[in-house]
Amino acid sequence: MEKVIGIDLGTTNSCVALIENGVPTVIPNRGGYKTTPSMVAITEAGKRLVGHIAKRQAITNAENTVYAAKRLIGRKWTSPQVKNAVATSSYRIVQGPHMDVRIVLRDKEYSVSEVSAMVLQEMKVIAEDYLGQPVSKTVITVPAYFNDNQRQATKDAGEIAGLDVIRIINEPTAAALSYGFGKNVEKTIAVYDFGGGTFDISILEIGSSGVFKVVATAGDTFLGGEDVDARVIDWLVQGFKTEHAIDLRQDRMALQRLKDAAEKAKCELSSVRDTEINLPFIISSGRNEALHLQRTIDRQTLEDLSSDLIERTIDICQQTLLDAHLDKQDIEEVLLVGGMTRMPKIQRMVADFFERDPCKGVHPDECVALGAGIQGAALTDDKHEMVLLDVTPHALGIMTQGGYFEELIPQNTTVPTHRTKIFTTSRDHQTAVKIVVMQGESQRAEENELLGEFILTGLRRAPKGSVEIEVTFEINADGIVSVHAKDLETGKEQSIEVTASSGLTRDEIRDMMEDAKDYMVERRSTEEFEAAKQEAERIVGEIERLLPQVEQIVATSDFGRDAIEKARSIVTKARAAIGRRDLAAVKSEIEGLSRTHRMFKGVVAKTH
Amino acid sequence: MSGRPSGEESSRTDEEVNLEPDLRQAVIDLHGRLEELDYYALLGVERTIDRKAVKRAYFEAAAKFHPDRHFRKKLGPFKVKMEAIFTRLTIAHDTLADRAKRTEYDAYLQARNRSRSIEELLADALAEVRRVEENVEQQVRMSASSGAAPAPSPAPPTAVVEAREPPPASTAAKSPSPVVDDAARRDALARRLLGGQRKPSGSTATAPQASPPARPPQTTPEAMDALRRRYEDRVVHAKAAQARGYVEKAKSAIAGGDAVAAANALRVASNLAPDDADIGRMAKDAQAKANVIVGQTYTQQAEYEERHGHWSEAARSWTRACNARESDARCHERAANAILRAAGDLHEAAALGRRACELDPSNAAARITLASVYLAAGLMLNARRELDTAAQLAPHDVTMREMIKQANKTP
Repeated sequence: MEKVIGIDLGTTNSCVALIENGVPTVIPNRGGYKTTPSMVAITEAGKRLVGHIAKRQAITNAENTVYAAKRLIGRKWTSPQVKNAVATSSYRIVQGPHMDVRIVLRDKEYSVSEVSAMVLQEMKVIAEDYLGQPVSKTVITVPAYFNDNQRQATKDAGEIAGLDVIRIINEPTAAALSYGFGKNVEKTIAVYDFGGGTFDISILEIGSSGVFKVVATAGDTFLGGEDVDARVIDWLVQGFKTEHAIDLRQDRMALQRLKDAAEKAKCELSSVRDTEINLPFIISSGRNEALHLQRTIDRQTLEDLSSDLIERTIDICQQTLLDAHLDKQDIEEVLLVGGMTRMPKIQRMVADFFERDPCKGVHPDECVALGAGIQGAALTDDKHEMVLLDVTPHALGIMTQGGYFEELIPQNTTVPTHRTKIFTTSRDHQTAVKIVVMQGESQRAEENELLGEFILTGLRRAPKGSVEIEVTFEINADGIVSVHAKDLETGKEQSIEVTASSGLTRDEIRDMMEDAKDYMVERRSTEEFEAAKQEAERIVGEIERLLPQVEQIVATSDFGRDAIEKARSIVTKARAAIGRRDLAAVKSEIEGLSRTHRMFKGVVAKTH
Repeated sequence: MSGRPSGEESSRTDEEVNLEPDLRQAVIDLHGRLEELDYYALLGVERTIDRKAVKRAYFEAAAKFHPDRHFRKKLGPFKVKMEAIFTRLTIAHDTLADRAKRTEYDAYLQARNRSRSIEELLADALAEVRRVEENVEQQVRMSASSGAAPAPSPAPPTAVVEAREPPPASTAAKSPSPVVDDAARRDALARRLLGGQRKPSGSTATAPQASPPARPPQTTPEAMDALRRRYEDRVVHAKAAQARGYVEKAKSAIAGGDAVAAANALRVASNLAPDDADIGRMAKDAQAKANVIVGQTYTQQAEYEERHGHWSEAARSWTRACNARESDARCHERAANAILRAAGDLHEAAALGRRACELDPSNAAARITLASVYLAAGLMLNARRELDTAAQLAPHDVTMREMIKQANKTP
């Protein structure tokens, strides 16, 4: 039977693995290394270089060497992440024809998927050399927090590389598979994955029947080791500027050398207390003399530079536990994944947070690829009695009247799954609705990712709200989303299989929203609105009950009068929102009302 | 588990589906029963099971039914079925593994089971009355034919009576006026009783122990009447005795705190002894107490169904709650509302809504619900009238102002 390889397509390094004679094994590259830099370069002669060989020549060929392409994959040109990358990368990033991102190497534009495909192809070759036979099937890992467009772009990269991507799985999930493989355990584990470009946290339950159930997953796709490097670079650049009044960022080659040096120093500081950064002839002073950069950095400095980034990861852990209704005590094992977890401060903070020492049993650089290999074997080989119950990392829903996002499948829902909701028309005599399928957590549609759209036509001409449309979302085991809309009156149906794409911008979505106004549906919100209304009215009642007391207590101070004024205006706004029957507004007013109520209670309690 | 039709289905798809026959059967069986199985039954676990065991059961089922176990195999219609099973298993797990959700679900199941057993009890009560009545008649009949003692009679004398049947039957045919079946039956019975009479008394004493052919001419209408009365008396007495038994039953039920069973027993008793004022009073009393419980049970059930958007179930439960809480305005209002939302019978919804308004004329919510029902039924004038009343009751209610606008817009 044909082997399925698992590929960890990392931001900085990639790794390939498979199951060999029942043992998950990492395949070393020709140089004997188990991981390969995710770098691609084109030489002056037009030769393509991938991996270590590309990394080695990066300094002298900075403009034509791509690193961290993963940060750009599946993203839109207008996204802040891309803007940031354009400003800080030593290679050129330009706008593609579909508002997508292109990378310029030797005057030729490449899509990000193409660049990633070059890395994947290299991994494929490594596996084929090792096995002595062709390989076509693969499981590729992505950060848990990747949205569908990023996942699709990764799949596209696999296809470009000539691979059949049988499944995309999440990196922390893969790490958990490699941890639990062959062990007959029942445990709830947390996987803290701090890699080169992304941070992910996943909570999984491992069951005795070879079942791995993802309970919750969260993360930040723009928080990684590269950000720590950037802090070190900043520190070096600032120091150099103070000393020589020269901005090293202006020089692409200097920037590339700084980048290398910063990464190296960061890694060294995991094992030593201090290290020297020595970059001779970094730049010309402009007065015909060469300047050198020479500085010592100690572990404390690195920790200070990166402490807010690390704290952010701990905050995300906290939030994830909360969302999953779990206590720290429920976590029976903590896995550390990704190169950044070698940093002693991170190990300390994670251990402090979870109140337990992290597991030493998994290799932070290799376990993701191993897990991908395990999933590949589990899917294709009946010998492996193992099944992974994954979740959808982002909520799925549709855009409704007023540009709101109405969720149908919540975040962290186990797939396969399906959900149905009923919507109504939002205009009188509306004969068509546009179903705009989106992904994300924001209440505002425009802040979420657009996945696709279609139009359901032939509705009965009727006053708004009287034609009902049933919308069903379905995610199958392969992660493919399909959406059906049905006119409950005529039984007429429309559906699409959502194939994620990149290509539309926020502006386009906004424009489209304008165009589509007549098409929008409205949530049949009576129940939800009534609930929100009752809640809001209850708090308003409480506030008004306390108001005379509070007034008596604080009316003497300007601050107090101001607070009362604010409280009144919140109550007025809430009433207005109720009057407009604006569910989203009522919901958001409830927050303000609750705050005011808490404050009032506090004031009254203090005085008594 | 229906074996046959599913067997057909599985054989039909034999060629294109790459799935072991056992699993195929399991998928068909489970898929067919997804709606009727509660979450415990679906996972195949006991009600008392702990969280860890819920997970274990779920994982075991997931390992069996997750479509990934058959990745890229030809599953035909089974893929969708397995996905549906898996989705349901996941909901079951997510409900039972979460303390709060499970508590809520358990309360719902309990209310549902309780109301189900109450329904069964109610249906049983009527059947029981019928059964007891038949029994009583039979016993009276038998005791009459076997002797005065109301004890169960041995078979042979009955056989003797049966053997004498034909002649009386022929006299029955001669009765002067056409009689209804029931009367005829009783006449026949009375004659049979007469035939079997061993201890003559009163007017029947005239009946000698003559040979059968001599008897019919002597059966005067008066004698027939007397016989019938006697028979009926006996039945009444026997029924009263039975009724006392049920009263005892009810008393012990009350002592055991089971008001519903008590009400039920008394219901049977008062049916058996309709003229007994004491039993009647007790039954009424017990029914009122039972109604409180029945009303609570259905209300609880209805509220859960409402919360989860099961409107037609909620409509049914609210309607039943109304039967038990005849003067509860909220029950009636919610019932009307649920029927409206479940797209049920608008006449029924309107009747319930009107009743809610009657019960609590100053209840704005009831007016609004009734108005909504009228709006849905296209009765604009009625709707406007209710809304006007509601507007006076709750001038600041936004929903209502919105509805008034809508009602005014539509001609």
